[in-house]
Amino acid sequence: MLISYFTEQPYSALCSDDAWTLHPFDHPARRPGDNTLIHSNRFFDPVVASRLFAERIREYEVAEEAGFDGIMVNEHHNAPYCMQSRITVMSSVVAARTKRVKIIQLGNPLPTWDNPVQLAEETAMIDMISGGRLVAGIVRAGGAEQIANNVNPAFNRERFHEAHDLLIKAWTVPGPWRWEGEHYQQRIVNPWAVPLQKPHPPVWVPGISSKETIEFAARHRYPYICLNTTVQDTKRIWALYDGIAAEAGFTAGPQHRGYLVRCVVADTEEKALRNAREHMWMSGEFAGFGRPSWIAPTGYSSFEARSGRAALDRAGRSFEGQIERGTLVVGTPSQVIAKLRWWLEETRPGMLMLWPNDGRLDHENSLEAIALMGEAVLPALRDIGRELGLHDPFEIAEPVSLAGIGNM
Amino acid sequence: MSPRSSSITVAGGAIDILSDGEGPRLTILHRDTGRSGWTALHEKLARHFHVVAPSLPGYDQSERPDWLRTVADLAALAGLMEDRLGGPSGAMLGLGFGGWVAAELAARSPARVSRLILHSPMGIKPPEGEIADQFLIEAEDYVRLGFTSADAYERERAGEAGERSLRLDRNREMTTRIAWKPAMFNPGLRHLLQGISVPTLVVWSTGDVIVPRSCANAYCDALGGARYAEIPGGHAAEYERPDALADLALDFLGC
Repeated sequence: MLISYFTEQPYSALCSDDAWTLHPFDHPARRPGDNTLIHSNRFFDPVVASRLFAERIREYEVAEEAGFDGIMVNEHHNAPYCMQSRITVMSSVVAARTKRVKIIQLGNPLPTWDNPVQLAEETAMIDMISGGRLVAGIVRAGGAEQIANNVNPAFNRERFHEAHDLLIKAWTVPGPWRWEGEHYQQRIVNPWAVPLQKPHPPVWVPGISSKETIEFAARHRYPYICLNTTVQDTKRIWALYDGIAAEAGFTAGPQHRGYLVRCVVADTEEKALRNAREHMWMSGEFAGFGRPSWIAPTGYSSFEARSGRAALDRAGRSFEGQIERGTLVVGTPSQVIAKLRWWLEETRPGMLMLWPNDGRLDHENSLEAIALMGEAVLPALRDIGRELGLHDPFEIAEPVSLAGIGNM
Repeated sequence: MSPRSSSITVAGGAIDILSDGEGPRLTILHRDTGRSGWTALHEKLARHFHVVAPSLPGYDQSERPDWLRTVADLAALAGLMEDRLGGPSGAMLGLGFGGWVAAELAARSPARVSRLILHSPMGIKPPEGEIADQFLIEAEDYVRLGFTSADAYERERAGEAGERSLRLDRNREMTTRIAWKPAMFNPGLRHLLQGISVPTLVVWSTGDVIVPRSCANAYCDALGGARYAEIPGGHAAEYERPDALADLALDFLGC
């Protein structure tokens, strides 16, 4: 089982009061409580952020030393809950500052790229610089990311599919060649950087609900990573994935299943609960992800799917509700191990992404949590993983895709 | 008296049309929120004209051309529709976004339009202020933004039968597909308009918070001798001030 460390890298210096107030310089559409997309970056202080970046990067090094197998990174825009506005930049930093861990991008927001060949180049560079440690996940990216990047949401899925095809081809088919697609046109594709891993870096697909995306992952034999979904939703997703896999001619297993879970550990339950409350900073009480038309703009998916997604976003947001549902795992090492065992038994993922530190949790507490996980939680999880046969793709030399079989 | 419903096929796609009245043709092009019904504005104008009110391709019940990417191409379809309607070229009244479509049509094929009336037209980058960004607010909130009177808004909303939210969403999706970037304007349009001499009336509502006055003025500048008038109320003039807008239109059209 592969165990990865994750943090959103929140801009933890943000003052909640500013988000609940209207300001004379506000965008005309802004309402009190809007704290993403159009919440002014006047409230961002690069001096503070410089320190926060240094702390988070140091925590990645410590996570590697503590025994994590991977560092999961991501990207968001105009968002105080995530300071990473370019996933390839942070991936490059992790590549340079670590030696062993996988660099797990979940994921590259394909539709927001106007030139996916540049993404092929950047990921190839990261793969070479890291010595072949890159997992190049791909996403459609949320609705607000389309608006922030001014990418037409009505063509989001079409751009996702076409950018994917172009990316894979740019990685694997020697140039020069020409691409005249529906949304992308490239006169010459001939990147002077190709991945070290052959046929190409593993591609994983994270998500929360979209049926089409789950089907996309399964049809390509790409692992799907459930982002902190409930146990019921997770099982529903695996049932769908497994069915498509069978149609596509392979038997899905733990190597195709990832799960990201918020997991807060401390030496006392009281302290763990206190630290876990910081997760609410971005995922409930203070910070939502915006309004329905930002979360899923018109055209981003079908009317029905978007209505469902908006409802999903509102459900079960209370702190206690999340702990009860198991989407927020909190406690001492032994308590956390017991809860994660339940998760592993119920949903059988081969990749587990642990998300311990968030909100305004400071550097010292974050380092402490990482160390405690390394000492007391990871070894137990590895034992459980072996006992349950939860192998990751690297342990069993799983091909990177259905198309990649026989091409390893 | 209720309008006649019909459908014609243009470039492989069916266009849904409401029409009524006798006389020369007057085509009314709807806003980006679509054509929710036959308003008092339609009714009053239909006493003097054969009023044709299509739902533009991709809006309301009209078929969506998946290939459509620009408002200029949408205007080309509207021009083909005018051809199909037959007879001499008629007048066009474009409301907001529909004004943009009418202007694109007139700029590309002026012979198809005898007279042009544009109410708070989008389509030109406003020299001052901005066209409101509908994509940052919910679809129903955008409709409401077009009204200065809460009562008029409630009447409009209550007057619609059927699945309004679904219709508004479909219309917004079509607008997204063709006008997302640049947001609700075509940089080339004001240059093209300088080349035509279609008699034009530009009307702006003084309470309009969706399209700024500078946008209406920019149309007058581009079109040279266009007539300019203002009426009270918000963007949704066909609901808030149908009589005032109809009176201006009828006067301009010589009735």
